[in-house]
Amino acid sequence: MTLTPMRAARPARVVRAAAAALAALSLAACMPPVPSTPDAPTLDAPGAVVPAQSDRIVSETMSELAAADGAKDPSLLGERVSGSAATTRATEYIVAANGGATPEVISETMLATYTTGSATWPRVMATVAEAADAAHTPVVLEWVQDDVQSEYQLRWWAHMVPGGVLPAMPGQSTGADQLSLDTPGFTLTPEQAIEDYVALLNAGASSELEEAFAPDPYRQRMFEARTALAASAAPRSGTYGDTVTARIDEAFVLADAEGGALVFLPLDVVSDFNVPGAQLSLPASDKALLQETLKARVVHRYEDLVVLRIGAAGSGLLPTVVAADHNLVSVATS
Amino acid sequence: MKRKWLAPLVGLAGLALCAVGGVAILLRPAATVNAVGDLEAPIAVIPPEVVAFDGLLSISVTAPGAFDVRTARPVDVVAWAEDAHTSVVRGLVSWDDVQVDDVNAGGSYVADGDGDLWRDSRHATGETTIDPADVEPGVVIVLVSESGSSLGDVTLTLSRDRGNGWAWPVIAGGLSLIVVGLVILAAGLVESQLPTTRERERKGHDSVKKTSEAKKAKVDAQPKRKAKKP
Repeated sequence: MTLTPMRAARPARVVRAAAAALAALSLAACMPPVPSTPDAPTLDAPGAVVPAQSDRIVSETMSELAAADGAKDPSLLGERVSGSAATTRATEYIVAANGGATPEVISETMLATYTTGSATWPRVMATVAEAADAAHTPVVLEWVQDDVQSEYQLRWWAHMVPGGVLPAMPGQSTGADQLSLDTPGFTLTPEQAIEDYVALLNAGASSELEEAFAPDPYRQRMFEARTALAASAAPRSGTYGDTVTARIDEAFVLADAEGGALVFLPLDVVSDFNVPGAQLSLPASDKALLQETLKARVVHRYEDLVVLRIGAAGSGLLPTVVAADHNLVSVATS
Repeated sequence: MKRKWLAPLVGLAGLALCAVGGVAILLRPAATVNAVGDLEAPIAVIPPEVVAFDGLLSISVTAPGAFDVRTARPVDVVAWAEDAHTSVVRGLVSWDDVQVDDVNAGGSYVADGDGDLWRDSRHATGETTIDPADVEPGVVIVLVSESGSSLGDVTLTLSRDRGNGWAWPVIAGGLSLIVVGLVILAAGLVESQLPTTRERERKGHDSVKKTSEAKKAKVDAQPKRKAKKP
């Protein structure tokens, strides 16, 4: 049989087509698909400040504080130390220069660091510095970051009260929940605890709220001084009074690991001693803070930090002050 | 008759398999690939899901000048770069192209190199390479041009499965079929050299016939004995 040219071309086309199909099949089979973007992995350490960050913050803060302490110059503060902490330190420099106590050196060794897992601002970071010496207790320091662009700044500190116990806190890698003042789930809301404690401070030991809080040396000393000064002024028809106001906007609440919370409560305390017709006198260190001529009235202003521990609902734990400092910042005649 | 077609068929199938496997090997894609994307903004964000790409070997960034390489929590970066002109690396468009979205074009530029936001921060100039293994899972990589000008480009280097792992087994199967075809062919050839059964049968019949005829001739050649009469 003889094939015509047309019939001979047909197998050749088939072979070519088969070869092309094979090549295409092979090419398609060996070209892996472009991978799609996977899900984001979860953070190992979701806390807002990991140890590397807190170490840097603490180190820079302590360097600034040390430089200012060394020069007794408050103008060197402001980058990492600001607010009430800077004001208090500036006052301490003046007092020390006029025969008062030298400012206590705050240790750079931190016994604990408490951070938040917060996604909003302002944020708080707290540490517990070891005691400077045997005569002092450890110090609770509070840093605040106002907004995303700001740095953490040391704003407050307070010594632990003797026998004060801080609750277990969430690990730094996780961070504690930063709570609003009206958060329920405690023996009382942080807001209520603040209101009641301030009311107690203003009313004195005779207040019915006295039993609502565990005893603490901060208010005990305040009440003792108030009693003594009032007694001193009374024979000459003088008066003495403390006015305590909470800085609600600067208060922070961190949830602890036991169902309770730590409340960082800044207070303004105004102590007014007035003996009409008298000529008062002051220690040299206090007089150095006075910009006016002292007569019958002297007003001391303090910026204090109280760290209040409140328990979980049903725990039966009375709100307890675990750290507090009474920091003189000014002396005036009115 | 069957063997006559079976051997070529099996052999051709084997050749076809070898061809498919061979083409797959010849045309195999590169084991590593570089996908490139433009970073038009002075700030670039590489989210954790991109850093978590399977097979991602490195992230290279090229910029005309100095820039910072930082890491932070995603929620913090969102707040920090809220109004900033930012290039956001999304993933791969193809094996050659990185998908980069330009966000807030014309927006602000934030340098802020010393903020407490950053878990890690380092300076780079010109080009830098980031090993994904060195990046904490879940954090965002943030690149910030120090001059405020566009960063340049980002290259994601990935290893990939070439997708031709099947090729060698297919070639082996094809070779096996070719061998089988050759065996069938050889068997057919050997068999064709041997007499067929009919031929053997015919040869056997002829032999028997010849033997009987020979015996008959032998018998005929013997002198006939007369029977003794009792």
